[in-house]
Amino acid sequence: MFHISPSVFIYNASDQSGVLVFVPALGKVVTLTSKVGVILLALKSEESFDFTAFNSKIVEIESDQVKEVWHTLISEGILIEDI
Amino acid sequence: MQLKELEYGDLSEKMHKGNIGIDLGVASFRVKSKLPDVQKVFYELYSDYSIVGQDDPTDFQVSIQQSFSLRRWFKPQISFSLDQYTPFLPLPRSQAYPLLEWGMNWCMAAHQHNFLLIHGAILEKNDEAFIFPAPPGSGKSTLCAYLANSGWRLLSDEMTVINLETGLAHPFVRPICLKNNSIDLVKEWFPDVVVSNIAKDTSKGTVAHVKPPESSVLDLYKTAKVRAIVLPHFTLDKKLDIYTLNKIQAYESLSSNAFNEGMLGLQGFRAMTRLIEQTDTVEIFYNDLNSVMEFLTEGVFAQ
Repeated sequence: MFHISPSVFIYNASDQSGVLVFVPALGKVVTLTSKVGVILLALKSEESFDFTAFNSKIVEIESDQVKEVWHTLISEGILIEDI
Repeated sequence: MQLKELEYGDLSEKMHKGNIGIDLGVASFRVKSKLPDVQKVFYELYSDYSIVGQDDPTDFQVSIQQSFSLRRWFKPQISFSLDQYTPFLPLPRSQAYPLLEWGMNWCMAAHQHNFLLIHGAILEKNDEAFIFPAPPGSGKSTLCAYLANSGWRLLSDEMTVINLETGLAHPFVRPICLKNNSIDLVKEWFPDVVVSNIAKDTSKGTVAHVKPPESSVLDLYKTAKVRAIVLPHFTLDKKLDIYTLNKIQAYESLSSNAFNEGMLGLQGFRAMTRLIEQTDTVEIFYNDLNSVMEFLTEGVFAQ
């Protein structure tokens, strides 16, 4: 199971053009499409979730892209695996 | 007390000893130089600024001095220093004044992290400020000189200074650095403006500095609310083409021109995203400055 790192700061653009995630540990900003960003925001309140839950919320992109996004979020330190 | 209230001889003597301090609003500088040409241009371009008392502290103590290597006999050079630190390699003697201006910019960009600093001009009209972030060659400074001498308030030609708490822009009014053909254009458009002597063969080409309008200098402590971000691209064959950028594109453009967003961490990210959220962003391709000015004052931003 995974959770969203409590230290990241998420900016959801008001014009729905995308979502920016600031990752303090890396000192960098990750740009996400609005769709992925909104899912991330929706999952933020959940204590933990897995890839299936993340995947089920993304309906309009190919499953291999969902996996790519999932791995990107993990590698960028946005999603953290529960111990 | 304004600098122009000093006799030139007094200024020269004080600058020789490093006893002349200038209040630039968000920062103050004490400037030392024994070079008569630097003293003269400084006196012309900064005449409207308030001077800092001799015993009052300043944020930065800088100097422009001739290098004392053997080269001085056949190819004189000058160096810029902040306190005892010399951050740049020496430059040819003819580039002394531009080096002082660039060095002062560097002092801000490298040290003044109480603010979000963006590489871009910022001007205000009708209580609304417009940021013009752009790389060299985009026509930013020419546009800036045009607007500043057409009734707009100049906040800065080079560095936009954003308050981390309020999101308001602080003025950092300085002489406008013109390059190459724009020097003669500005002299032709505004024959009364004070322009420094030119320095040739600098890293930016031929450069000269334009004295900022006194009205802008007198408003050094008046902050401004940012209305829009305008990314200028001087393009010979386009009178004025305008493209709207979405928030994410705006962030990416602005972030690439920020001096210290990364250094500020979350504070910088928050300041930047708040700025993006509160403003509109357009990219303009233009060759007609008056059309740009009309667009900014009478176009979508006027509504």
